[in-house]
Amino acid sequence: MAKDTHYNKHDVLLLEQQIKDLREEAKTKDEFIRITNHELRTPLDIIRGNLDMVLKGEAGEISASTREYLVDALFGADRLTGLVDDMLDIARITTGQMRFELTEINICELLETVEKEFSPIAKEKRLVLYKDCFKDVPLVYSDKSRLFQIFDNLIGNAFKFTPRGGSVTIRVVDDHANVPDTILVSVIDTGSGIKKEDISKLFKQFPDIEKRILPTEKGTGLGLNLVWHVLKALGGEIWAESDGFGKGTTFFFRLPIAGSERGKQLYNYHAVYLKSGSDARKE
Amino acid sequence: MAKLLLVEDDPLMVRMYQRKLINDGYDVEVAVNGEDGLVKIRSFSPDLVLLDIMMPKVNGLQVLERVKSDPTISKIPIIILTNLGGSQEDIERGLELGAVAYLVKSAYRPDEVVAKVKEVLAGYTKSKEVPDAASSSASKKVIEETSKKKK
Repeated sequence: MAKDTHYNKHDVLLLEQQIKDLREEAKTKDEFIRITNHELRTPLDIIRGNLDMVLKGEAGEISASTREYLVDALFGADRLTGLVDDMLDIARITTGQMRFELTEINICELLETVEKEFSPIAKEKRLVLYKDCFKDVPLVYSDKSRLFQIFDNLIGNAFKFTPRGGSVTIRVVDDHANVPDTILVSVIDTGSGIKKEDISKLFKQFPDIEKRILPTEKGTGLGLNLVWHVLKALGGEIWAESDGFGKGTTFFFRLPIAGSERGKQLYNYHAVYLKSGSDARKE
Repeated sequence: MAKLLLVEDDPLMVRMYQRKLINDGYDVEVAVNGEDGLVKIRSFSPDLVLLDIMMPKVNGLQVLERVKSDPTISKIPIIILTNLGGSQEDIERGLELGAVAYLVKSAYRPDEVVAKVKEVLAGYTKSKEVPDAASSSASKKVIEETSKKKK
């Protein structure tokens, strides 16, 4: 006997009401995040702005020791600002509020920009930055500014944990033989490495692992957690490998290839904002 | 001495920017909400307006809309100075409504805000026209600039 698939008027009204409620809820969450962002940022900007002005001599000469205290205060405020940014991004992404701008991207071209940006910092830290892009790597389907954010995070970390004379290599390969519809990116450093028992904690919020970094280095403790969430939402994944302390670390992440089944699945993801004109292949 | 109108509802923010702008030789007037802002744009006739967005009653975007639809004051360049998101949409909306620049407060130290003010005023007096703003490439530029500064 065929199943009755007719909805009666009552069911339709119920569904409409549920959709309305969910939209209201989403709007409320979005508003909450926007307002929280503003309320947290304002006092932070007041702190940073005033400290900055005093350090630049706007309130008159300051002694060298006063300067030291204030510089540390400013570092603290900057770090707190980074933390607020990361926390709000995580709140957005885990409640489905985050919007992405998806386009077809040539990863090797994007890496040229990344390389230009990090070369001066690499020079300053006496590190070498290598880029190794497999010939004819297919286009990926992703969010350009989020990709920049991911590379900033991973390369920034690699620089932090790699001593002078070391190197950081970014390698891109077409990995569809192993995992269909994806390319594989690795960020390999010759730095201080990670203990085996800590690797699983890396992507958690505020991971409780031993870190060997300078006190002035920025780090919110949320960077990798955010990267993990963003890559998941973008149809990818991230993991890390290390042979232990002093043996360097490699971060691997996958991205969906444009036009592939995996790439098309992104259309179905929560709160995806599609830039018009970029989805010419959309069926 | 150029005249600046600062439209900002947070008193500590006001004091911070006021200190910097006065130190740098500007004649500064303050409006603490949107309505006050509209009144003072007319009475003070500033050379440039620094406009916050999140304000009670009449918000910055509404102020912008009203200023740009009034030919007696529409030529005054307006820089949005806000902590609101900085998402593509926010920026596009602000630039579409006629702002010449969109600065996310957290990304600009006070002296960098002043540098922007100088840049806009220089462009304005040179051409006598409010510098061109509304375009999606302009908003992309703002996003790039903002995220570079955040690092």
